[in-house]
Amino acid sequence: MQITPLRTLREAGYLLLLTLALGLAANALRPDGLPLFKVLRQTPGTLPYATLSPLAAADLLRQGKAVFVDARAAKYFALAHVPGALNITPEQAQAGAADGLPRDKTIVVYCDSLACGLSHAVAHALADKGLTVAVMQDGIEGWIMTRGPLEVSQ
Amino acid sequence: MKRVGLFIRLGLGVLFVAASADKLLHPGDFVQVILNYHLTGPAVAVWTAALLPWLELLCGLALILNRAASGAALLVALMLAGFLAAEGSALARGLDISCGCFHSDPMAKGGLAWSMARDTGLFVLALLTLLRWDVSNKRQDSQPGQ
Repeated sequence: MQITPLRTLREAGYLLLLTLALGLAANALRPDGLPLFKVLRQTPGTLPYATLSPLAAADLLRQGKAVFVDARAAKYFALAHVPGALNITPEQAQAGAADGLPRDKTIVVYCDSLACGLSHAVAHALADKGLTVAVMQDGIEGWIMTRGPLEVSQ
Repeated sequence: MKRVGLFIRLGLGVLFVAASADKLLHPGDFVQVILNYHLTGPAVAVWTAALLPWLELLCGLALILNRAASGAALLVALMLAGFLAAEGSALARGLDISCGCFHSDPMAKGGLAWSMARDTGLFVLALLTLLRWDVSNKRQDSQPGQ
């Protein structure tokens, strides 16, 4: 059978439709499915949390007005983290690991660096639970650059 | 020449099936990989993480099995063009991230330039796969009695 541009486009269309059907079905069936329709209801361009520089975050820490949350995997948290920080990954935040966090303090979430998206995922999950949340955008790299103190897990 | 075309089609198919595996197993991590590019909001990242691995898998299987293969080659070329644009943008902005092409570890770093070189090669191969059908069509047309 001859392959024409029209046939190529039709085949691509079938593959896209099959992708949509399989992707939605698989996501609905898996226990850790992504919140596909919940994210569509969020107003674009507005974040339910603030962003902070490392210096502003350090001020909050000194004043005792913040609890730090490290969103990185445990092995990276163990190497170095902000003193007193809790290690809560996005999966743990979704699973309710953040339920004991104080509501009278700002929860400052950070991950690796500006390029890291883990802190935003945790911040979204915590903000959904009604906590006051801020993301330290430059992450632990920014914290180190401003000579912030570090703690190492034993 | 026919064998080279077959080799390219099968190679692209196997690569895309392999690329989809880790992302299908860990869609949550793949959302973070996409967010690391700082190109999209959470909604686009979540939908891309849910659908892109399936598209990679289906296109890979279509190329291997030679079913709807011309459509798959077109989609593979379009995906690679998108990947190249995202990687180039991240490189231009100085982001130290991994492309997330064959894994979904959001903490991985580096290798974007190498990923761009590899994806450029794959993009050319995907275009060749598309053109191969074009050439075979012209041959069919030029044969008498066709």
